[in-house]
Amino acid sequence: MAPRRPLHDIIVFYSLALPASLIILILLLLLLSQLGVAIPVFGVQGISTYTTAVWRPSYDPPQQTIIWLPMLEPPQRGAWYGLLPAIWGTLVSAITAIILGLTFTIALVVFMEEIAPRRVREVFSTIVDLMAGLPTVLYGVWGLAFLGPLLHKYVMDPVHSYLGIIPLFSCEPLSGATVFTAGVLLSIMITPFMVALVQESYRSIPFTLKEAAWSLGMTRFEYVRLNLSMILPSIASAILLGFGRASSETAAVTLVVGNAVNIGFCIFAPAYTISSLIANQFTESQDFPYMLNALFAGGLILLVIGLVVNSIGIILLRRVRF
Amino acid sequence: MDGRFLVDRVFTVIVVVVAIIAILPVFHIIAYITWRGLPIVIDNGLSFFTDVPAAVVAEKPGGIAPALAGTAFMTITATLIAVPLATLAAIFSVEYPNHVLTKAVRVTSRSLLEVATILIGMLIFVLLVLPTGRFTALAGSLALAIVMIPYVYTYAELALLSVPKTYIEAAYALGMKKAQVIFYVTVRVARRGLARGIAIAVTKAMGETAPLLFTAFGARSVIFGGPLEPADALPLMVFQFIQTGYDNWRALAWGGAFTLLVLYLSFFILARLLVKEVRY
Repeated sequence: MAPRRPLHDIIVFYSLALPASLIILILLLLLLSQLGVAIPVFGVQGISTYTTAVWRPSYDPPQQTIIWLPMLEPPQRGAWYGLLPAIWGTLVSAITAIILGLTFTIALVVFMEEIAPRRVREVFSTIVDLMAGLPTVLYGVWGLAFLGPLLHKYVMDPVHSYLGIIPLFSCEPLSGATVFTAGVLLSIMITPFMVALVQESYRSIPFTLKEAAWSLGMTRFEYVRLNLSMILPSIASAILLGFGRASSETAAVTLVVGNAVNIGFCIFAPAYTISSLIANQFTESQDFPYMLNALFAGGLILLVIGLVVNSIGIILLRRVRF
Repeated sequence: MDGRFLVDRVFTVIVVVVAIIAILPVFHIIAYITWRGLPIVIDNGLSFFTDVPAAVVAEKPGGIAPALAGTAFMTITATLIAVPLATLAAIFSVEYPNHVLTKAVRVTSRSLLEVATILIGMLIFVLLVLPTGRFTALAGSLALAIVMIPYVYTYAELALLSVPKTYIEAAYALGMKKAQVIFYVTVRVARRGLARGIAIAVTKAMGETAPLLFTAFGARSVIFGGPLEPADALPLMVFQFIQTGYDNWRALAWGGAFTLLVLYLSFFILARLLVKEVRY
């Protein structure tokens, strides 16, 4: 028979297990609170909360609709809280951020690992760390006062006047606060985070493989292309986790995205993201029936997107093994 | 010249240029915020840090004392909540690596790192603000504590795992009990790594805006009303004042942004100094 564990060991176990369980409880509470507060709005607007593009706060509560039938047009009268524009804005800004951010990420990783001398690499790596932790509101004020106007004048206006026939650029940019600006700002913010993920995998490529590649007489370009192809899962993972970061950012995005209920293919228009919608409308939402619940429905989808994307990203990251 | 080498040359140039473009913004952000914020801090002198914001029509913008006091209070209390909780949880996962709870905590902590922080604000709003009917500094502290927990946990776990097994075995061989080994050996040896994680988490908490929107809410007529009153915070003030049309408040936002930047850079350097590897 195994000897009994002494009492003091059991005490240690439970006094450590309690804080550990508390952390799990926090995540459960997060999910439950979003779901719990969101449910009433589903009882009235049903699935259409996510499929309609009308945001119409009113003291007159939304009209009851069929819960499981996704509609595109809400009832004419009464309040209505459709989250589609905010979901769309979140997707568009996050995808813009990913496209640019991935370009920055690959360039930085290749530069730091293959081109830069050691001292330069150390400087770059410190700067990337500095970018990673910079308070997001500082990115936001910079984006509002500098980046937005800059992009408006030198990117959005010229692109619109020359390439205006393409739907993506068809709307006239009225100010610097657009979903495009949000995407560019987010790309800068998520780059250090993506760099950390890709760089770690890049470094894990065994030296023997790298030597073999060089010995075949490859140029640096061919060599880098081969290396990157070996860590594709981790690049995919960085895209997903970067998307999670970009979609959940609040303070910086709220300052530059323009905050307008808007849905369309043009990226030079102001829009809402889910998080900026919540940040902007939360305070007054308590005065209108079901409005707070609708915002929690937005929070719920944000949380679910975050958790799903995060899980897939982590699984992909594990696939890079040498 | 061989086409392959031409491609290679072009590729190298593009990589270098894009890499430099990617890091340029952070320099510009630091320079720009200093350019806009530093003159305001200098103009108002010490009173910028000791006064409450003035009326929007006043001659001088006043100061950011409520934001500083609120950030200090909420960051410190959040640290006091998050550090013990997350460190003990990290000790658990190192001491019982195969326990099912360990796997669950690891997954949870990773998920919490990725969760939008505004959702944490909404959680505390539902749990604390709605039932009590008021925004409080303490609600802000709790929200920030939840932001900090996954950071402290992640870095603490790394630091604790790096403690050499021989030290721990030696301690057990001396007849120490588990609790003694944990607190006299494991935690002591890993203290530098633990401190670094705390510094990183504090930097995060200090710069967070979203979790405070619906918890601490902001209060600017007094410097600090107490833990059970609404409170201001530096990022929160910057976020709200920069969006107003009043010159005075925008001035406070820029001065506040500069102050936040200086605070962030100091903590960043502190965390760097703590990295200096621990040798065994």
